[in-house]
Amino acid sequence: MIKKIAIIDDDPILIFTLKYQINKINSEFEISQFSNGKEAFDFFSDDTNSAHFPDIIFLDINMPIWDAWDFLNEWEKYKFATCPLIYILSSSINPKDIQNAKKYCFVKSFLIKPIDFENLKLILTY
Amino acid sequence: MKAPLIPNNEVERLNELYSFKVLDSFEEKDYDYITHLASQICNTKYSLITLIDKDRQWFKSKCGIGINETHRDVSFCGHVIVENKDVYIVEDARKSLTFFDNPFVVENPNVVFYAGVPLRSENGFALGTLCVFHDDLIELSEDQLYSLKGLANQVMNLLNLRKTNLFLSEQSKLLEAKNSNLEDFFKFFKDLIVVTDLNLNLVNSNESWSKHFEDKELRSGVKKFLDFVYCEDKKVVEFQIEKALKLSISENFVCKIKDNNSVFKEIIWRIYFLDNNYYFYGRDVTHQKNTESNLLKLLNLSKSQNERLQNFAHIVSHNLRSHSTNISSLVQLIGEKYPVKENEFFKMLLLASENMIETTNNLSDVALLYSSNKDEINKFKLKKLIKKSIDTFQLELNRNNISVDINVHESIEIYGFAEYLDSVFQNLISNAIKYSRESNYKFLRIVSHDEENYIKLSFEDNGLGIDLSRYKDKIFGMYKTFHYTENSRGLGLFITKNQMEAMGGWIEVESEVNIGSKFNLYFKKNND
Repeated sequence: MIKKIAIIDDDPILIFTLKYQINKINSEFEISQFSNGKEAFDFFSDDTNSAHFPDIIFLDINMPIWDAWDFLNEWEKYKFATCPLIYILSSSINPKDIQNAKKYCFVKSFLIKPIDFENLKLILTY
Repeated sequence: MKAPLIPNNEVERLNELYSFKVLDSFEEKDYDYITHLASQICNTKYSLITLIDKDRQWFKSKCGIGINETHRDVSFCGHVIVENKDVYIVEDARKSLTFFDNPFVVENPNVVFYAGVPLRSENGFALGTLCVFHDDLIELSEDQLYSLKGLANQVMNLLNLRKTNLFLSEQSKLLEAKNSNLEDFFKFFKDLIVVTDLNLNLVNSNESWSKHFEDKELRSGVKKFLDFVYCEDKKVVEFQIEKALKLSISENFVCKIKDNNSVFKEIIWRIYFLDNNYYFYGRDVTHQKNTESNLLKLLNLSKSQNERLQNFAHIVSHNLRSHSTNISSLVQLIGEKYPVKENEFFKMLLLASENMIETTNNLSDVALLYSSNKDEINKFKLKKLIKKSIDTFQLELNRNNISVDINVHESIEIYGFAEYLDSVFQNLISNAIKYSRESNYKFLRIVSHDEENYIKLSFEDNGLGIDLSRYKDKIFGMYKTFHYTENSRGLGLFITKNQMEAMGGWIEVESEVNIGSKFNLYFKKNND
């Protein structure tokens, strides 16, 4: 199955390396990228983009404009028809962030950078 | 002549007499009126108020006679106090066996008739008499006798009054002495005492108050207590004054008072209401308050500094991790895409990026150590945990030929955090592997001992050992490495020590170079 993956992160290097790794696992996966939460949310909530609605989202925490929490709060309010697997992917080891992430039941898991290649494989082929 | 007998209760009688302190006192008109009246009523030449002392009779008042006292033996009155009669009468002394040869009968004043009424104290002691006598034969009617007894009663009243007055004046002297003692006391008293009348005008105060708060130039003239009080505190004071008026005592309250240097001092007061006066009792707590607020400031400062440091640690570790992760990922990508794997520079770059990741990981661990967000402390089966940690290292242990010997009873339970316990055991096991020494038989012995409040768990190996004489103070410090072995990093024991302490236990080390190391862990048996 061809999966659609969205990466929301303000760090172009992270996006580059993650895209490279995803491509290595399956080069046919469709990857969309957003540099902050608002940009991503605007895209997802626009019905004309429904063909690109993702199956998996990798979400960074600290970003300009909308951070992960802003994004998740809006996500919770807006009832999307389908629910992709949302993974938080951050370098934060602050226990407050981890606690905070647990409040959103639709967040699948909290991943700490760097994401292990084998682990990534598991997530993508699940 | 017969001398009067001595009464049975003479000692007590004399004590009673002396208690009036009347012997040898001055003449007093009140008594003289009575003797005068007595001789008038009874138509006698003479009348006396006598008091019978040990060897004499002493005259408090005399009418018709000049002397002040006589010997007790020749007294008529000495006989009166022995006889238990309302009145003692001698009709003709010249014919009496007791008195015929008495010098006062034979000579001046030639007593013929005598009548004496005993002066009885409230306690029943006869102290003396009121008596009348004459140098001729007379008779006293019932009325006259009645009057004589009444006058004797009046004498006794006068004596009692005298005694009461004496007692009162002694008491007032005592009180005065006590008062002046108290005044001295308040004079040197550091606390403040201010007395005001009902309208809060100052009527009295102690030295502490007048020295510090009452300007000497303004001292004359009426002053009100409230004039000294900081204006915003006046309401509080008024409220407490009302309370004191109702309940005669106020609560403790603090108000500011302007001192002689126009500085407001914080005083803690209590008001007592007594005999239409308010007593303000105060203590200067300015210094104490300042100390308290300084302490509080310091506490808040260190708290906020701590929080800032904590945030700083998180931010640094977070940002460093982002960059080092990126670099390491990029280096790996380069290695995969370009034929550089055998290049020496590339190898070093790979190693450096791996070291950087490890260092930032350690830094994150340390930052986490101090975060307050921890799960609750739990009970764990010790052996199970150790086995789990050994399992994760089993491959490496086998590869290094280290045999593990666990001597821990299944039933032993300890308190701790799951994450910390795993981390502590894994760190000690990996240390035993990293710092093992080439020999025929390498071992790691894990043994538990039950001590009073703690479980002691020791990890003993025969590895490289640590030179404790050199590194004793540094062994559990941050970034101390003692061996030039690959992978050696100094944070492990630092983290282990802190994790043990966070769980209410501690870690100790015994070690000798080229013999081995023994780490003793102490875990809490009870959660209290």
